[in-house]
Amino acid sequence: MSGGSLLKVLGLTINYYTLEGVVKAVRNASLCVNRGESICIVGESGSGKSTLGLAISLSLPRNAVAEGSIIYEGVDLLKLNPLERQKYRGEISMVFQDPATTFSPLFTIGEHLIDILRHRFRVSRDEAVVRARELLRKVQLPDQDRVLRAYPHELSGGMLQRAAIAAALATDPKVLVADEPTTMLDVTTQSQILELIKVLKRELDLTLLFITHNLGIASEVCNRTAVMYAGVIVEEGSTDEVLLNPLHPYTAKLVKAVPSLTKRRERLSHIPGMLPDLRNPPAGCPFAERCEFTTHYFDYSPVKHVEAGPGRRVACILYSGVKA
Amino acid sequence: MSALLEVRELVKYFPVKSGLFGRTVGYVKAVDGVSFKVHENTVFSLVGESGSGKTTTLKCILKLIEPTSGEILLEGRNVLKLRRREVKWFRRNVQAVFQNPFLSLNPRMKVKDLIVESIKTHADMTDAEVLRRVNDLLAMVGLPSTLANQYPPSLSGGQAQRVAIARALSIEPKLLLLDEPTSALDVSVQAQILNLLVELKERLKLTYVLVTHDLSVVGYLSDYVAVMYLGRIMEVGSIDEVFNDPRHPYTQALLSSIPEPDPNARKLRNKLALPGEPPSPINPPRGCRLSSRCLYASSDCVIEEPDLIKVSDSHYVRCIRASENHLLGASS
Repeated sequence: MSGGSLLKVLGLTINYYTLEGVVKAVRNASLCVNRGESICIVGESGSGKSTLGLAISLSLPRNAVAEGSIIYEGVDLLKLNPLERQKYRGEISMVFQDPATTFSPLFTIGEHLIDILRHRFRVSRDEAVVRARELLRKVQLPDQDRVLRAYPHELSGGMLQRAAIAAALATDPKVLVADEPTTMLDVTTQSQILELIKVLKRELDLTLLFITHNLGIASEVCNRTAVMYAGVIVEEGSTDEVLLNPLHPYTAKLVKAVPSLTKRRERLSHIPGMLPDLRNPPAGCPFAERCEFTTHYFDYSPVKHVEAGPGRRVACILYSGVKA
Repeated sequence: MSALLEVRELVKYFPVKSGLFGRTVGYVKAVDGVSFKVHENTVFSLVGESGSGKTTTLKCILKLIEPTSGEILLEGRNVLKLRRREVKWFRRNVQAVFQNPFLSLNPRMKVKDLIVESIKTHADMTDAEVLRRVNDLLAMVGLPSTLANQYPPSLSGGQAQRVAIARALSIEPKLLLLDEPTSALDVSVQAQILNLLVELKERLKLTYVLVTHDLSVVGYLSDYVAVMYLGRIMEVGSIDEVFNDPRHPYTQALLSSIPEPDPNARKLRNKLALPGEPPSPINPPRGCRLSSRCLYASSDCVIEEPDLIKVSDSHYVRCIRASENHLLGASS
């Protein structure tokens, strides 16, 4: 199943230049994604998880400036010229949160898919139609001919998200970046879509980068998880390890803040305070202000990642004495 | 124990109009015969997916829309037949907190004025008393009094939701209606608000009616829960009975669809998928409304819609197989 690293993010820093100042969305993030694995990036709003996903799928908006490197199969994606970038855009596809904004309301689902297929593979229109139908079958949409002729508003949220997944798969990608693909959906539909993504990952041998705020989804979909807070990857490890035995104080709090059906009446732990202002984030640990273990907050130098076991990294001064 | 709120056979149809003259061609049966009782100092939840009619039910209770038929009783008085003076009594006792605080709080009014306005409408107090009350309320929801002079857009989501709660509680209502109160918030903030709601309920002896699609929130807050599907209550009862021993296939599917964060609990659970998507509420399926998607549907299910069948004194299910369904439960 796995076969060495496919994608490596090294010291990635992403800043958004906005009218209100420079927003430091991702700071010094490093992440290694192995071929064929599914990795989750978990975080709350403003953690930089979506920005990281956009960077990897080469879809950052123009006002974003990325430094560092994203190495995909030996090539640094950040150093590509626009023409080369086109090629890699197809290798790394993305599914977004709101399927209604994925498609243009002016074109049918078929037109979208056929455009992608013709552009990518230079095939005839007829050939593209055949392939588009096949894609829709792959995402388990019934009555493919009707869906091809349908405009986005004519499909339900769940069907539209399936179509969006089909569009993402149209370029025959190796990596699928899914940014909260089920957040807008009802729970029963959500569970259908998650199942579909798992099946497709297996059948098409995809590498999956799943972005979510929902720890339950991380637990069900991914074997590895990276937790982000205020632009920093604070912890990384196998999903079960991270959830059962969280090392970083932020992760520990987050896990206890989720109401669970199995532990219904237990009082939830909450995190006092608020996210730091990302225009001027603290130089040290971003969580220090809200952390119960903080000692000398103002003395902190930038936190380093500590290896805390096999495949386990944590960015916390509490573990600086722990041996790998 | 008498009920604080009672809903009897509530029905709300929205006409579907079409054509040049806006002829009514059908009805969206948003709520189709919903009845329940809410006792004092308990939390009653309406849960369901989009289109189940849970929010429409809430809007009817709040008198925001007029139901097609049915009765809503607050302390035994029918709130649909109130005179103008009595409406004020009703508003005083029933307040609501909505999903998005940035939409429910006027962005051009200071936090202080938002709360003052609500107090002054209902109570006869001097300005000094009102101001003291505002400070008390802010402290009660865990906000610093310095926030009183800020405008809602400068608040975080969690702070704004606290202001909305403070405003709702400013006139000491008996019943608080919560419409997806934490759906717009991050988990860590959601936990803060949920804890606050539990604390306030105990301290002020409040009664909540909670509407949400999030079953884990329901599990955390509620005493009683009603599961809705296409305008109907499919299963209703005490939270322990419904969640530990769900009898309706729809409840079972809902409970097993929630992604479980705890890896140990996840492995114990068996998933029960619900195929397809909800049918149109304009033309719901014949017989049991779930029959078009139910894994256990038989020919009996499409003949006639079942009534709510009693499982125990505090547990009712609308399914003809209620007595045998418990083997498949999502409980653990």
